[in-house]
Amino acid sequence: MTRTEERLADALQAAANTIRLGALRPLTPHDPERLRGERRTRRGHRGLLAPIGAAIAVSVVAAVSVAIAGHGRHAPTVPLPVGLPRYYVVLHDNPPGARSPGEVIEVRDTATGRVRDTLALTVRLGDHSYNGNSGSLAAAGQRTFFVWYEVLRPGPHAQAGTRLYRFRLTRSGHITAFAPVASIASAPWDIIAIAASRDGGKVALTLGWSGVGRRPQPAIMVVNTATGSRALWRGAFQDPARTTLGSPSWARDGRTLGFQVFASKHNVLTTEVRTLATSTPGRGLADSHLVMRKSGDHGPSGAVISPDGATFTALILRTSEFKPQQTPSPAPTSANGIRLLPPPRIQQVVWVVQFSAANGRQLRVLYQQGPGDGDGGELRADSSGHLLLNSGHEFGWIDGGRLHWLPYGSDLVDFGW
Amino acid sequence: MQRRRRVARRLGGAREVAPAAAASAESEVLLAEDRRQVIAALAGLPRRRREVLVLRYYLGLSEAEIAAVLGVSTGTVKSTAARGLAALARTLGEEE
Repeated sequence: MTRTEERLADALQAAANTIRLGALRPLTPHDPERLRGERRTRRGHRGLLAPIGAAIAVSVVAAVSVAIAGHGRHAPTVPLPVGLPRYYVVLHDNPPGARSPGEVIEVRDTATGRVRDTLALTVRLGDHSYNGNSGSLAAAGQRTFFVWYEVLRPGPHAQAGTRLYRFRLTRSGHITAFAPVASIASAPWDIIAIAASRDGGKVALTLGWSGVGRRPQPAIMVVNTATGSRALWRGAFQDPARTTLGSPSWARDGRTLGFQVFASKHNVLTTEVRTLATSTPGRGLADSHLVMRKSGDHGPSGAVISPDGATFTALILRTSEFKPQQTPSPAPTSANGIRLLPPPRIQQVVWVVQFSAANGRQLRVLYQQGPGDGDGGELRADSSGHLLLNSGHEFGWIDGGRLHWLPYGSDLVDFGW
Repeated sequence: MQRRRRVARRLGGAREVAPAAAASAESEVLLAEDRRQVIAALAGLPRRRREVLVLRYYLGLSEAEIAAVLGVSTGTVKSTAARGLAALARTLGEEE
């Protein structure tokens, strides 16, 4: 077992011993035929379809996921600024009440927070059927969105591939024209994050190692959505195993791409914000422009480039952990002898700051929150720079130094507008 | 969700876990935090990867059994598990 495998097995065992039964979800066995939209034919496997232990184990993780993701508050009724996107789109993982397991796209009204339309990614398109593993959503110009996920092709040895899909919103917020755009990254690549240009003509993907095949250098791929052609910029990092690329975002010109590099050395994290001129395809990431570099915990967790490319808006999180004040003595123990300790309380302060793309100098603070409960966050912007923030426990749009809450349901995977 | 955030924070945050037999109160808190990090990283994975890893490393099912449960090929199970572990290692800041 690798170190990761050992830690995973230990954490799952401990989680299963500490989970509250009341937090478990109803048993939701996975029916492969239903998942594929086919009639049940493989009766020989039915005995394995819903082992109670498997369902409980999956439910344990799902319940933890729900606890981490949290739920949004109700949207207050406020006049919307001119130009604010009328709809926002969220990608859910296994939402309660879904007819089949899998990710679901949900369109909500920014003014009211109400759901306008939903689409399960398990929808079958031609010969391809859903195989899961999605994780990213990208917006292009408020009404066009992209999402990727793995698909199965038919045949005795069903092959998996990753496809990029596009959909559009009607004026009334309904999903239309959901269709594949291109086949994209496969082993040894794994998609970390995606971003679409304002006109939807290009989609950028930050790529890491999939765990299959020889480890490549982290890279950025740009897909031309009209032709399906792809261009790749490889990194030349000293330690690719401890380097990750993220936060892709496009300037309005459709040529300048902002992105981040997260690199760890001797347990010290270095965060960089960079820009890449994609009009010179095929060159390495070493040719990208360094905007800022921070070491330690003060670097941005996310950063989006402004439409004119002159500034970046960054999400900075400072997290504190508070150990439990009182540990029962003797500490309670689980059935297999593991001592059960209350988890530390995590609090964080959230800043959204704007800084210069020319020299990395901080220009102004757009929003500050906390300290409050939370552990993590993400920042998105539409093609005009309107900000959408998930701070771990609150979700909404930022304007005038305030966060305007929006509801988002549960099990949030990604979001955009 | 929050993959980048976790990457940002935890690439530099991997901790050594003290042996359980010699666990002090501090090391047990570290252990609990380590487990919390792993579960948080797991919760951030796409559903299919999460399911495969839970079935493999909690229930100890074989690749063939997982393939039967999920209705996919053993090759898909193998690649999904590998991708899931790679993503976990990346998030937790570990070498494979």
